[in-house]
Amino acid sequence: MTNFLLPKKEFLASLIPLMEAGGCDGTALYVDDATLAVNKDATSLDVARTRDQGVKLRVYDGQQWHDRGISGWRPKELRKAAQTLGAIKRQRGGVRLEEPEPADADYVALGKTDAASVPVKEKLRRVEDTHKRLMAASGKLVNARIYYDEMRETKIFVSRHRRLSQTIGGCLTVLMPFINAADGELRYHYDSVFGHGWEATELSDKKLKKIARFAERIATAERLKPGKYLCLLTPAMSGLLAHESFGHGMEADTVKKGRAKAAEYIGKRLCSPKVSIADGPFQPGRHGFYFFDDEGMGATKTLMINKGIVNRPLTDAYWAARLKVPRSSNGRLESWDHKVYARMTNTYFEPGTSSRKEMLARIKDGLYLHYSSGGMEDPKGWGIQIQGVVAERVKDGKLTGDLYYEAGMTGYLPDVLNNILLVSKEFDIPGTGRCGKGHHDWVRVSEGGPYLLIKNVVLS
Amino acid sequence: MNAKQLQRKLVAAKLDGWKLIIQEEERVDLYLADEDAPETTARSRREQADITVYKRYGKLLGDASFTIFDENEAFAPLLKDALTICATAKKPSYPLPGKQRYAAVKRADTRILAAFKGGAQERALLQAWKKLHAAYRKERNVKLSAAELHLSRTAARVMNSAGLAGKTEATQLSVEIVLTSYRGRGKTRKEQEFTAALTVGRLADFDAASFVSDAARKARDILAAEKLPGIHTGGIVLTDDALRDFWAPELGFSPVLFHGAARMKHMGLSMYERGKQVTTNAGFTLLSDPTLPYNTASNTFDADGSASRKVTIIAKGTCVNFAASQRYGHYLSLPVTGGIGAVSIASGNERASALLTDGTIEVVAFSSFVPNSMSGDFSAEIRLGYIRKDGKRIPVRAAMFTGNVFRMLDAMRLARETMEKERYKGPAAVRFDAGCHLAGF
Repeated sequence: MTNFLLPKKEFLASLIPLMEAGGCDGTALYVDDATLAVNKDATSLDVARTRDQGVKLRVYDGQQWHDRGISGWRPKELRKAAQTLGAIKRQRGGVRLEEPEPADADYVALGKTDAASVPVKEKLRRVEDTHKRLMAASGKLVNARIYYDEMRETKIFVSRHRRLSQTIGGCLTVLMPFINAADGELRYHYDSVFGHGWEATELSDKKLKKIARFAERIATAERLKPGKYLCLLTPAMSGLLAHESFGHGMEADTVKKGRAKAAEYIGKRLCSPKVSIADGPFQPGRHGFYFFDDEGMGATKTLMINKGIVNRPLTDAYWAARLKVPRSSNGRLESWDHKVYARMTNTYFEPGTSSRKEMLARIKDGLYLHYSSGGMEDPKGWGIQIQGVVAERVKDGKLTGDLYYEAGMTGYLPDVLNNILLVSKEFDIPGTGRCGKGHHDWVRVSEGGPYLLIKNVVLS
Repeated sequence: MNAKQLQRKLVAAKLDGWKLIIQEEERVDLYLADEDAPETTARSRREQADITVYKRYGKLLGDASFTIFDENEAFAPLLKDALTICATAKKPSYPLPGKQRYAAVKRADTRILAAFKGGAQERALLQAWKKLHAAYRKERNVKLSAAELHLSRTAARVMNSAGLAGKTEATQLSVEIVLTSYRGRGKTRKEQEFTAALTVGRLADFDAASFVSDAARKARDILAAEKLPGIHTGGIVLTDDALRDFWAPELGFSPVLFHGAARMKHMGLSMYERGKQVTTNAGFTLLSDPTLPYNTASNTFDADGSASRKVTIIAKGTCVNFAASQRYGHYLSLPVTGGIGAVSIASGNERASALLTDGTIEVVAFSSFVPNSMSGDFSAEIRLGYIRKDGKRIPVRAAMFTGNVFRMLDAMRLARETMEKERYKGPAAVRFDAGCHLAGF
């Protein structure tokens, strides 16, 4: 892999002096994002290979970035663009960007079995088999969709002091059984599994049966009566709360532009010491994993809330300098022709000391929030907006099996954080989604955490 | 990208069919750090060829696609892999679309094209920014917290082995601003923000002054808005961005359109039947219209190269057609309609003012509206609304709008006045009295 990328790395390194001719700081990022997407349902099997390849050249003139993006691998055009950028003169004043330590390294995360080594026929067979077993797990399913998304993301980052490459594999299987509710309304359940290698696509009969059974229960789920409930949030739900309701408001540009309520709280207590919220791309196997960000910063962990106190924002190079805080590895772009922003990666509540069992036992009458279809940020108002919540009634410490479908969770973030009663030691980061900056610039992320027992959760 | 060279390679491969789409995009972007200082200026150019190959196996058809960025890129290994996929992922056969007659859909602005041709695209974008900034300077009690502007030119050529050949060109200006309204000082200072975004196909459709003044007014109204107490029991009227997002959400699919897709019908996921009532409301007519001039949802052809046509999906409450690609049109014996366009709703016969009676709440903006496309269920926070009281319009916020799109149709009332905003064209106001409710939090 390294040998294959070396000529490109060397070529990009040769552009840096051209780009810096005017005294600016230059960086080059090569992106090659290849995917194999397989869609299987009861009526068809569709397969598509997609690829996005290109280079982003950037110079920072002391005040702003100047970007050039060129698709494919076109050395002549790249050299020309580098020369054009080299004519840009460094501006007086402005802020200096923090330069990480010099480094020359190549990284690979392809799991136990590199998916590229598996014949495409076998991949399609596995998707078809998963579909067949899921359909067979319940006689009540109208259809089921299996979506297999195999990614291979190769990036090379070069600056004056850093020459880095990374190749990250990903095998994501999304499972969506469709079922008719009693009133004839079509409903679905959603589950997904991610790993870097082919081994992540092995799904047991037990797992598929569990998914099919849950879909059957969704078919009989009722609407929730709006109100305030004592709730036990699963890692998927606590992760969404960390990501949507808090994480977006800790992206450095949002903080600096006065668009985040969190800016008023940095260094101040927001909630109880049992609450800590972190972000970082450093855990292999998580959907938001990488070795270095799109500005060449090695993976770091950022504690956004440290024991109840609002701590540090997530940064890219520019906004770290503007905010005068240390850089974190959150400078990310959707593709080579998009802008680098400060973005989340794997976002989660830190684990606590309680057990899920003891937390459940504390609920006399309440709800267990399984998962939701998504949420929306409100960094300025700290309002919580989580939609499509699937909840289950808990009575006298036991899950009753009574499900509620399509509930909405609302509230004011500080209230919700201050209503956290217990935090579990059990911990997971199961998210496999993508996150937008508003409704654009999508990057792969994950979210999770422990189980959280929260009182007075507003559900509609 | 040399199309002829690629075509020669595909012909030489002795396939049962092929399709070639060559896409180009040129774009300039401007991101503001502060109201006067750019954070990033960017220029990018994309050129790629998306190739699909087809192999027939009796009554079955195998297809597979791949992308290249240079006509000289190694073709043989990609083709070999694609043929393996063809042999494995077979589906019931369908014919490739042949020669098409494309409607002359106006999508490219001569001014933007000229700017790109003359290398003046950055200047054109900067001019749009200056107009925006000048409009902003006239506003009081708001600050510009963020701004992004994008100008682009895209072109696509499509051709296939059945003789189809088409090309299209489009331009866009996209603007997004965040305005923060404020009042008071120090510890008593209060702030709220409003994000306004607009994408237009031509520069002449960008009215910076009204775009900014409208956004500023909304930002100030959010700051002045009262929280909605309890559950609202009167009618709910959607207007403006909220109405656009209700019928044509930015994320996901509109439930009314999802069920009107032939693909969903084929998958057994659509509840629509041709000739069967979707709603008892005979005033409800829904179309997909990809032919609206300079509308950002308009398109000349779909991913197969099939000509995009205006299609009525629901007429007077009854499903009359499905939006169908070549493949699903063939499977279900439906006319091929090409690409989906703007959601177009027939207007009603009541004046908007007649819908906005005392006691109703007018919702103008959601924080986000992402319905469950299949069931039609939704829950969305109201970013800004107005309660009508004694003839006055009092701003309200912090309320959850929940309901089911399909259950709302029967008692829906549509305004006579119309609006066209990006991916929506239809009544300027729609009133709902059942199937949904608003609750404060």
